[in-house]
Amino acid sequence: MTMVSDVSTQVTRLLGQAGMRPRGVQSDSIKKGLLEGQNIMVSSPTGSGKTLVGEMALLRAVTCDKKGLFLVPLRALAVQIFKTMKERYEHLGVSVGLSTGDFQSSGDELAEFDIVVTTYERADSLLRRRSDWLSNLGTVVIDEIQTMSELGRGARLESLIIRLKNSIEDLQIVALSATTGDPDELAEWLGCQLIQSEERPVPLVHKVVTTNNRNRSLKKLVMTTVQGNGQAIVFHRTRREAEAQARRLAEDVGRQFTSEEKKALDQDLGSVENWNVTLSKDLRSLLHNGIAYHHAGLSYNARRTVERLFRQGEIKVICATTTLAAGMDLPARTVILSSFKSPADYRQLLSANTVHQMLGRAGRPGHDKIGFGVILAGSTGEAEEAKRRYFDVILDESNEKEILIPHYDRINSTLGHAASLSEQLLVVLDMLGSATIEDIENGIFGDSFLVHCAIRDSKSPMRVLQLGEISAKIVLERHALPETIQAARKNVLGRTTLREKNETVIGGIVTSLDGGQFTCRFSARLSASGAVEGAMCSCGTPVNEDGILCHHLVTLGMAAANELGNMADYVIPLALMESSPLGLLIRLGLVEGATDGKLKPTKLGRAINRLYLSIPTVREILALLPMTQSTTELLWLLRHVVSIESGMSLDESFDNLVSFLITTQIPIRDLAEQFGMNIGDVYGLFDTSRWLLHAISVLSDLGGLARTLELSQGLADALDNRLGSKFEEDD
Amino acid sequence: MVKGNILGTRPETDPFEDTPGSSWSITSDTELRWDDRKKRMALAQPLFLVSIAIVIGFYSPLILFSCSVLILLTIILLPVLSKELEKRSQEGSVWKEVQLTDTSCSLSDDKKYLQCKTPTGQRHLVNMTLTNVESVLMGDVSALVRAVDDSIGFTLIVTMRPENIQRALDEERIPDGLEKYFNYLKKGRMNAYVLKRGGIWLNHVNVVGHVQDETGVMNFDSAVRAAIPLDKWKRANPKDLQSRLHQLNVNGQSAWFYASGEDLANWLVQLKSELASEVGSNIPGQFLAPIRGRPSDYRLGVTINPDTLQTGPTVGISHSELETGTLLCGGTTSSRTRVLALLTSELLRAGKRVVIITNNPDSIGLTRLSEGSVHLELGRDLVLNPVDAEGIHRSEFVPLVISSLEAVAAADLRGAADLEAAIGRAVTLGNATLADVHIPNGLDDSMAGPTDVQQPPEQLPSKKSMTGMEAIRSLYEGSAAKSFYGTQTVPTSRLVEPNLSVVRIALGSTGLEHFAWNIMSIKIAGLRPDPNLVVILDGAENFRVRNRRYMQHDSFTEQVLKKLKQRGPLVVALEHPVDMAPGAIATLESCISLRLRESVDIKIAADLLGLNVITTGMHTKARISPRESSFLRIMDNDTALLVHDGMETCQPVRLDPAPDLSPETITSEETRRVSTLIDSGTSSTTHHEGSLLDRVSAGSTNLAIRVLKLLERYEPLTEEAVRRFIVSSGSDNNPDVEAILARLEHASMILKGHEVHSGVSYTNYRITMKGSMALRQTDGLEGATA
Repeated sequence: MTMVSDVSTQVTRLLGQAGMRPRGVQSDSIKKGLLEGQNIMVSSPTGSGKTLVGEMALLRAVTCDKKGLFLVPLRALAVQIFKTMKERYEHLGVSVGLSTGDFQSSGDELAEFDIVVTTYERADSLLRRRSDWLSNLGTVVIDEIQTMSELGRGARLESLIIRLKNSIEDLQIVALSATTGDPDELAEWLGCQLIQSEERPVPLVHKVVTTNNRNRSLKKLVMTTVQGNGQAIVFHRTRREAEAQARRLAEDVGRQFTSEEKKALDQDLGSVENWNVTLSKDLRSLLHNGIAYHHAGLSYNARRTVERLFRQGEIKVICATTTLAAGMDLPARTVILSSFKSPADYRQLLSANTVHQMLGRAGRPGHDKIGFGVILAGSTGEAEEAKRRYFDVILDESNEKEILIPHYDRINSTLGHAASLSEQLLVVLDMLGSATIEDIENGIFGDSFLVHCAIRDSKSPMRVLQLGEISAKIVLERHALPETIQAARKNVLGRTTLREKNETVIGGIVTSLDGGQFTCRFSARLSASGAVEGAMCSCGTPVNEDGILCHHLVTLGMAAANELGNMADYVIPLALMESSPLGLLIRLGLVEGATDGKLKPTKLGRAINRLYLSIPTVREILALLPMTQSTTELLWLLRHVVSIESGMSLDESFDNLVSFLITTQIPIRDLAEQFGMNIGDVYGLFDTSRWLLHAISVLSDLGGLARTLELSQGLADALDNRLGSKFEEDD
Repeated sequence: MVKGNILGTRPETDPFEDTPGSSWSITSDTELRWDDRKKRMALAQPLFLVSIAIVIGFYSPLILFSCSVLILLTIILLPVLSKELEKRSQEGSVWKEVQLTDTSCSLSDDKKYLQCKTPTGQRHLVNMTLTNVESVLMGDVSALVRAVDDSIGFTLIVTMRPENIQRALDEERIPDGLEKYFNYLKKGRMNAYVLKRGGIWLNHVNVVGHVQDETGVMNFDSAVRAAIPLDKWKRANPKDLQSRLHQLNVNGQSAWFYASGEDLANWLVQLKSELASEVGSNIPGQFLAPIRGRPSDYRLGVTINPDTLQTGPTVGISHSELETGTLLCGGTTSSRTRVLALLTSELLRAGKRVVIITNNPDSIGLTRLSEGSVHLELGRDLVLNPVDAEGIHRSEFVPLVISSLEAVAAADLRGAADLEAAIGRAVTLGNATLADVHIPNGLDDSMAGPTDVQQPPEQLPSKKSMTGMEAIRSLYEGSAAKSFYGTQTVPTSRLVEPNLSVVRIALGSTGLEHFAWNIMSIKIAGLRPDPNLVVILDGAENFRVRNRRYMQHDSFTEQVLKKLKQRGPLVVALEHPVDMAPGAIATLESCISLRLRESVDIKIAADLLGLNVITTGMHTKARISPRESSFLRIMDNDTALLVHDGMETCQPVRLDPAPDLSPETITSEETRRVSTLIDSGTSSTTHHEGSLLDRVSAGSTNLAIRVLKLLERYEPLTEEAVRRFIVSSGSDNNPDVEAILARLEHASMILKGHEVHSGVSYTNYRITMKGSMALRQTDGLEGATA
């Protein structure tokens, strides 16, 4: 007990030395036992001091002679937190380290730090590489844990948490989350005490505005704010839109400045502090008008400059992409969301949590009495959709006006997606050495958030995880409620007439018992827009939001599985985008059979796991590696996998860019300009390229491909030479 | 100018060629030539013989003399000799002498007419003569033709002899007024006058009736008298007739050409050009019946005289008429079915195959007509896939489908480019169904972002296209799905394989039925031309375009009908002919009409049947006068009017009784037939030499195998990687990447899909079941050869 109180006093002392005192959620968490090593989850709006809770937990670990890990979703956020913590605690004898990217390095050098700030992915990579110092971890702080809902990285995060919990004893987990729906579910899974706070420093008013001319309405909203001496952030779907909008607004915003304000702004921009900042001409001229755009394509310093100026109130408007949403503390009076479609895919809408995280920035403490969060909708239908998805609508009886109360999505696990599962299966096999499928399904994955929710949720499908072989019936079970499957097995849902049965489509007419007739089909064809057509049913909702098929489709699927056998086993999984994770791993030669029906990763599989490659990337590299005999071919392969990993579509200029970088001494900044790329992107690309080149060379070494090994190593070395020092300077 | 022949102008067809094998022993070897008569022996030949004879006689008169004696003796003794020889041969054979000839004429009991015994039964001949008539002959030839029972013919002989004017004057035959006038003229002027007025002729009319029974004799008498109401008609002495017949040697079975009664009358009808000027278009209100039936026709019934209700020879329609398109109109559903059933059974008997598309609820009865028949119902056994072109070229098929779709969309879909592209894509897919028709969704794009308002509006599909898409959706999601959604259970080419297939179309809504009929017509029209396959469209909804909103279907139906006709024999049955587009009707060249009630229908039918006579006056407008069009209104249910081979007039037909069409209980045999038809359609695998891959890859088999093997291991692989693989692995220079991928994809050996990495969508390929099978087959082949 003395020990415990000792720790808490030490932490309080450290905090005091850093000039801070716990308040709000922080003192709540201390009460719940944060400093005694209790697992804590904090769910509260932005700006309520969550980060400090994490810092306290890390300090506790340090005082107990353990190490602390601070996990964030974005590299920029990691840098920001690293800087803050370094400033606050380094002089108190706590060493803080930062590690982002660099999946190719083992990370042993991080052992010397007490606290390491890093991204989820880097932490995952470290865990896969089994860095020794990880066993000495006392506390892991996971910031923005609601990221678990995101496709792809969500599964990696979930798997990371499962493995952290499994492999490190006495680990304190502190999860920090923005406001979400049902946070207690997640807290229960994590084994955390939940601290919830809805308290906002500034009250927030939400509004959905319907307009048929977005540009005009946007201008009106922005100008109203600026004229009222407030600041505004406008979120856009794409970079291009953000830049264009900033240019469009520049003149009007610039006119609102008094001559003194303008002078101060110009002075600041010309000051020594900003000498080393590279700002494009375009952005610079915008900044002089008190407006800026902000997206991941800007260099790190440029982004920080924009954020600083905005915080100082010298610029009034930022047109940003959604990258600004996560974590950054950058409040403004009015936040406008110009479109609520997902940046990645315009057919999908942003999740409620993302939207509220953006809108939640409205209201700057100390400046504004009230904040405004506005969503622009192009039509009444769109506005209704926005209201339905993101808000609970309450009618104010006094003035008959609608009051919008934010409505949050609950956090869903994405581990069940086939694409993520194969990777996670490999990870788990590598961790365990060898195991049977059943062991994994019931053991490690049995502890997953996915299963945790499925057990408690009556609306979850009959089967949540499928690692092994896949057939039409299993896929149906993955996408239907248990009752539906039972009924379909008893054949009481309706009669089915199969009308289409070929290599790509199974379709038919399902006549339900009340005589209704529905046309249903499973199609593995590509529609004209390039997506797999998937399941279709004339009832209108073939697949609901939770991925559950309507019961007509289940009836059809069952009938097809019984009648068509193999063909159904081929078409239906394809149509529902399901594949067997294990099958894929075996086919690629990453997993092999061990004794007693167990499975184990091959040498290749282990290497790949540690290289932190995603399975599709591995697939592409393995398929093409034997064909890669020259530098041109290697560059092509590199471009291909870089674009898959980074999500950018690259053309031949990438090859040229890399060749220029290696063969000439032109500064990277000039190169970027020459190729018309954003400097931030170029650094990101080179970083990814280094990692993937390293991976390629490892794989060619394993495959005994001397020529490719030589080529890729040469290229990797050349890149390292050019880039080695550059990164440090930029960060 | 018609070439003069001894028997008049040459008939279009030689009547002897299609004379049935009648008991009248008529031989076609008559020595009679119509216009290529040869002159016997040229003059040189006898001259040469004579000179030879003179030379021989000059040198050795004895030889000549003995030869002459020999020849003379032969000539004298020849009849005796031949008779003796024949007698001897007759005695040796089993022939018996029949005393009686097969044809004999004798006087009747009351001696008023002749009784003729012929192999086909007893006939009665009656002869009427008319002499010494006035110069003006009042009569009604048409009434004569109608009244006289001409089923076995009659003879009308008009003799005209030029008369000397002086003798006529002497015998006081010239009317007084004229005679006085003649008195003022000189002889030369008088002859000139007479010549100018056509001469003076001595006339004699002789009518020989050929009737079947005794009562007919009196009828004939009165008919003739009624037709030409003159009291100078006299019944000629039957003895004279008998003696004249004797002179003609009717009794003797000589090789003379003769034709009497029936055959001669046939001639008259056959000689169309002659007839036309006398009885053709100037006869008002008459039907012409053929004198005898044509055995090669598909028999429907017998001719009937609408006045006397006497029945005549059998009547039917010929195959060539079916080939030029036949319209069956009017009547009730059951009477139309009766005609179709009669026709179908005849066609089946002739070994043709028949496919009947019908909307008749009792259509199942038609399957009774044949043992091997199948009955399919659209939506139950048959699924009609509107995007399965079944071998019709896409550029032809897609516009037709869009035009058909207008009935469902109830809108004009011309110019709906996106719709056309979408249907075209689905048709190209090969195994697509209606659910594969998509317009790439541009709607989402319009909501993509605030700055995208400048997006060009033409990116959006037009309103028309959207309407068309709605129509398509209603076809596969609505109640019509059971008929149109899915792969075609029975391909049209298989549908026509049984000797009789009956397809029933009953969907409940006219729009849908219209669409179904159109698609069915289009698909049938796309079959290979086959004269042995007769298509019967009974109640074709799609040809009913009167008072519809989509009037441009006039020309559309015409086009479809023409295509159907090009394919082969066609019968269209429709209650109201006026429903059809005028152009469409014109494509059907023959017509069978049952009873019609509406005057608009009658107007159309009268035109088709040739019941309107158009007379063109010299100075007036063309006039249309109806013949017996009112007959159409009052016909019995078992009577039909039929127009034939482009003839100008039509024939009334009494239909044969309908075959038994009461539906049987469906036998297991029939269900089996239907199910084999349906099943074999889906599992039609063709076996060829060589591996599947060889055929698919067209030369670059090795590359195809490598691609498939790559995919087998690394599927799904992104498109970029596969392309790269092909480019860098192609040992042969410059492999055609597009071609190999397109071929494999088209043969559904690889399947295109998509995957998303960090928000970017990639196209990928995976190997299909068929692809792995092809690969295995190739491996097997290689193993076998190794």
